[in-house]
Amino acid sequence: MKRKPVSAAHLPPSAFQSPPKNAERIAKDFGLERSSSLLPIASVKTVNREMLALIKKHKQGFVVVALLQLITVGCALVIPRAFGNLLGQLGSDPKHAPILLTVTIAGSALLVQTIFAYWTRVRASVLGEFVLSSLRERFLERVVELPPNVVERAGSGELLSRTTTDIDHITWAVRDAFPIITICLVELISILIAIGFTAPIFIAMVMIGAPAIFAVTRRYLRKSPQAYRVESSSYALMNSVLVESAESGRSIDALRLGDERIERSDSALGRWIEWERYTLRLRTQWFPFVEVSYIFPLAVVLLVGAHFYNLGTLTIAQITTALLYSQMMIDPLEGMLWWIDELQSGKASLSRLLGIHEIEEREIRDSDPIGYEVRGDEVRYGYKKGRDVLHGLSFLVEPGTRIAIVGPSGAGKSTLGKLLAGIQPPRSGKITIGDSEIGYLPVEKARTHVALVTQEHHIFVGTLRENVTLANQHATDEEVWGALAAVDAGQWARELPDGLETQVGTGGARLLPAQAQQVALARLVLADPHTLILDEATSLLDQRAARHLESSLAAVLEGRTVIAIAHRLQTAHDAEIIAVIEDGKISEWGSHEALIKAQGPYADLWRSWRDES
Amino acid sequence: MSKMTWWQRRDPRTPFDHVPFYDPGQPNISSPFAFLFWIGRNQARIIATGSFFGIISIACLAVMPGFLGKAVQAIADHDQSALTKWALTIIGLGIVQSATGVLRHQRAAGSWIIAATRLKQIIARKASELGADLPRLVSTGEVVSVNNNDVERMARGFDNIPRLVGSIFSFIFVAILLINSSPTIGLLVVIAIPLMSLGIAPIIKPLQEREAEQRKKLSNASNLAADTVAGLRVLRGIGGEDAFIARFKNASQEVRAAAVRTARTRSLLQALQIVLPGVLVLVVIYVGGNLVAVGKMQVGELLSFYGYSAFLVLPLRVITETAQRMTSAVVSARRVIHLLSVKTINHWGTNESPDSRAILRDGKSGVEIKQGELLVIVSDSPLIADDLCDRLGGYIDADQVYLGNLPLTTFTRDAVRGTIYAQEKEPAILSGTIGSIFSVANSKRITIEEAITAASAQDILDSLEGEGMNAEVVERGRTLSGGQRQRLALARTLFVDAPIVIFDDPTSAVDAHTEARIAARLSDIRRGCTTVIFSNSPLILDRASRVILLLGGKIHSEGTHEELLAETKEYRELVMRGA
Repeated sequence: MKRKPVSAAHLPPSAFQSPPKNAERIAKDFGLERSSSLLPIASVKTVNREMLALIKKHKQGFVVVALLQLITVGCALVIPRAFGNLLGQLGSDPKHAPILLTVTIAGSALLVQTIFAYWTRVRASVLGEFVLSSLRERFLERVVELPPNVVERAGSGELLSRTTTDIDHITWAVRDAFPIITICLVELISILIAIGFTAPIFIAMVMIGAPAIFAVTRRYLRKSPQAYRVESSSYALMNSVLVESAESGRSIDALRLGDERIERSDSALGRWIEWERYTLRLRTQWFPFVEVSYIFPLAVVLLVGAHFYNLGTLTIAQITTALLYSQMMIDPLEGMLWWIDELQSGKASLSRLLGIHEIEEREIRDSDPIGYEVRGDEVRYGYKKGRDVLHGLSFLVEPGTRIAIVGPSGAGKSTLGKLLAGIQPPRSGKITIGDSEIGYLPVEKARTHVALVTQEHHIFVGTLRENVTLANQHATDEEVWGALAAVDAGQWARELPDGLETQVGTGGARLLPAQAQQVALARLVLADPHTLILDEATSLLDQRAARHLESSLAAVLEGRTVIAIAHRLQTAHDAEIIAVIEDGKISEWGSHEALIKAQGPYADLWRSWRDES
Repeated sequence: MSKMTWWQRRDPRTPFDHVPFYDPGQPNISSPFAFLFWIGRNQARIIATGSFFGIISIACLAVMPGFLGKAVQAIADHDQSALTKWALTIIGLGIVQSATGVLRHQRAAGSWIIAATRLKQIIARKASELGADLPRLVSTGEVVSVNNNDVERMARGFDNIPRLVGSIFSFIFVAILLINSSPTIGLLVVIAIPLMSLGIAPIIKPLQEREAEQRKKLSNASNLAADTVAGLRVLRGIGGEDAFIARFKNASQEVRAAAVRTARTRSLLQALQIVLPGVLVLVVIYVGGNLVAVGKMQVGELLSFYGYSAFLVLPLRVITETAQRMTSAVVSARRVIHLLSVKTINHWGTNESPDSRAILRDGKSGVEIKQGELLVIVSDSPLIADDLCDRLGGYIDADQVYLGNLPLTTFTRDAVRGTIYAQEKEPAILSGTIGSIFSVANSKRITIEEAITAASAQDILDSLEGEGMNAEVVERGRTLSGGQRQRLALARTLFVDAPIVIFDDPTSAVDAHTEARIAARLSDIRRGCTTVIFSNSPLILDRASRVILLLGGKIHSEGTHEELLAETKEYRELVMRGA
């Protein structure tokens, strides 16, 4: 394959040599500042608090799992104890050792242990799945309630990656970590108590490794959450490069950027590997120390046990039992540490999910609009501080007027559309519908009065009916067909294999972009607000079809206020009032005839068009 | 290419310093096994060293019961020096075990990272090879799921190998040890363990089926969630959230039900993993206890036997787990192979120097394009226009399009793309800075500033974060308006300045003011070069040196804009504006 080798220059300064110091640096390294400013990420404190709340909420479930596990472990502890006793008797009086009795007792214990182990695991899974499903459902519930201005600003990409990737990531952590850590903890404590019953002195001996385990684990956990967080972000980043290549294949091909894409993807891979390397180093400084700490207690039990055996205070049976018990501790200990580690990497995703709950609600000033009059009063708005896009617009739209907004690209038409639809309030000045400031009304109320359709379209996975009846789910067949007919979509809809019940959207019948726009308008017809904002809502239809659609739509929308932003002048021509917006100001306002007479910019434009045609 | 570049040892402490690869190589994709074997062979070294450490670390664990037994025996015998010796040996073993254990872990992790990297690199190269054909032939969803899930599952097949090899070795080792010291118990254990593996086997398949079912349900739920989020602006604008939440909750609960079903089977497996070895231990206690009772065995030995038979659970578990991983690796390998065997639509030739001055002719419609003209094609169907644009650009049916007398397929793909630039209807803007958007192969005849001016796109730069060429465009330009995206793409195409440029409705989302300006500047900047525009806009048509009217995909008439306006009724109807 002919392409430049990946040189070190494409990779960031090695994360390995300079491990990340703080969240800001990490964010900077991965260009995550932007996304983090778009949607918040919950702090470690919030995540911990939420996790505790989660456990509290499912307290009962955890108690049941703990109790079941207690019985399981209790049985598991019988076997070494019985064996230790047998060994002791075999040592002192081999002829009369109760071999069969020991095996019978141990066998019964094993049977009960197996049954309860099964039961514990099932209950733990049921609990984990319950916690997980309620978490993901709560997340999506919150997502669909987000204020429209946040959705508008954040774009779908960031939300999408939280919905898919992060929910995937927490599956392990939430579903398995909590229940299994509970199980392991119960097991550890039970074994410790059992050791205490064997001979209290052994507790001190098996705990000898504990301070070491505690110290290295604490050190590890201080660094690992951030590292895993970035690791998973960099993994997502790497995948998004391929997504872009897959979606934009045609443009990449045309621009002959194939090799550049490979390089981009390789360098994203390189970044991810840097972080894998770093987290591996963290584990390297953790695992071996923990493992050694398992072994030391064995030696200590042997040496100290021998001393007391010689003194006659301990028996072989006790020493053997303690040895077997301390070996039994390795499994739950390892399991617990493993899941604490998993929990750490899950926490990163959890903080992104919970971040959604920290989004500020927009300011609500509830009131009930009286009448349908749309009024703008010295409206100013800008996306960046000190750089307004709209410079003091004032206007009055009488109910039932059809008005067209025209003007050059970048003049602020779409921004005005968003403000009119109440997606956000103006920076200063007011936009009111029936004397209520639309930008401060609750979303549910605002959209019964005004709706916005832009050229951005989305067909949901589902039937055509479900797609059209979003706002009016009880619409009859007749009403749905009527809405489709009003947007000239009746014919192709009838030709679909299953009519209204045809599956559309990803995986279903494919609709053309123009058809998707018609569906968007049909939704609007069924929603039936008294004021409609159409921002280039027919731009994907060809000219004749667009014009035909507009006139049939106009018939259905008779009496509604329609504010249409358009670049096609015939839309303007058909409107009652034309507003020309230039550089964030209304430069002309009036009917087609009046503006032609006025000989202003609109007239110029119209003439150049007509003359040529 | 110097070796240094791909063995850059930035950090010699990790076993995967040489990835990403300079060249991931050509995989053998004749079968899933051959594919997995090819990957394994290419990282044989790390697998071998990992297995080496795996053997040592697991062997340390395996022999531990023997030394524990000896130590207890020493206590029983009041032999202090022997006890000290065995206790120190146990500590030594522990240290060696954890040291080799972490070395094994590094190589196991490295193994999966290297395998995943190689696969992802191969897929990225395949994506580039397919180029424009990729979105036509494979859905983005499938590409993503192969690149994420399947690659991960394939790679996970490799990180268990060191443990597997270590387990098998230590199993054999312990078996020999056992048979040597007590043939009865030894044989019992050695025969029982494989039998237990077989006993567990019948559960593996239903478990995997349930897991697959659960994954399917989960992907269904996450697709629903993703779809809802993608259409969130629509939902927030018009309503219907409740229905979507209800739908998602339904799917989510289905996942939960499937997961609980899986959990039952998995719990059964775990219970079997407790009871089967447990029974074995009991048998060992019974037989061994009787041997001790008749004086044929020592107490310490019995403890060792107990320990050994308990230890042998580990290899058993590792083997079961590896079998599971390997099965899903094979399934995933099949899906990756499926993606990698997608063939490009056109079969390109080897001719690298097409004559850009020759006539470009579409065999199907008969449209001919002459050097240096500004041809505008008016079509009654936008679909037919899109199709013709794709054909003339050599994206589909390239064997029916001729440059001079040669079909486009006689040339290399690179040569065709370099000669003919066909801009689709909704061109993609890739994320990055304005500078990176314009860092593409170009004729060097036109500066970026000239191209941006010609496309009337200066205002876009002002509206973005960052100054000038460093201004950032995010997420395929989603923050830009349709008109802004269109003008940016137009500027990019003008900057590339290919000898033959074809535009599919390049001003559909641009207002009339701007369209007029663009039409004038575009015809200026392309003077002397071959340009084809699909458009029904009079502002564009007025600049054309020739106009073709296509009705139903066939040439109906041609001439200048004025001639056609005057002579052809169908033409007037298509391009007429105003009342």
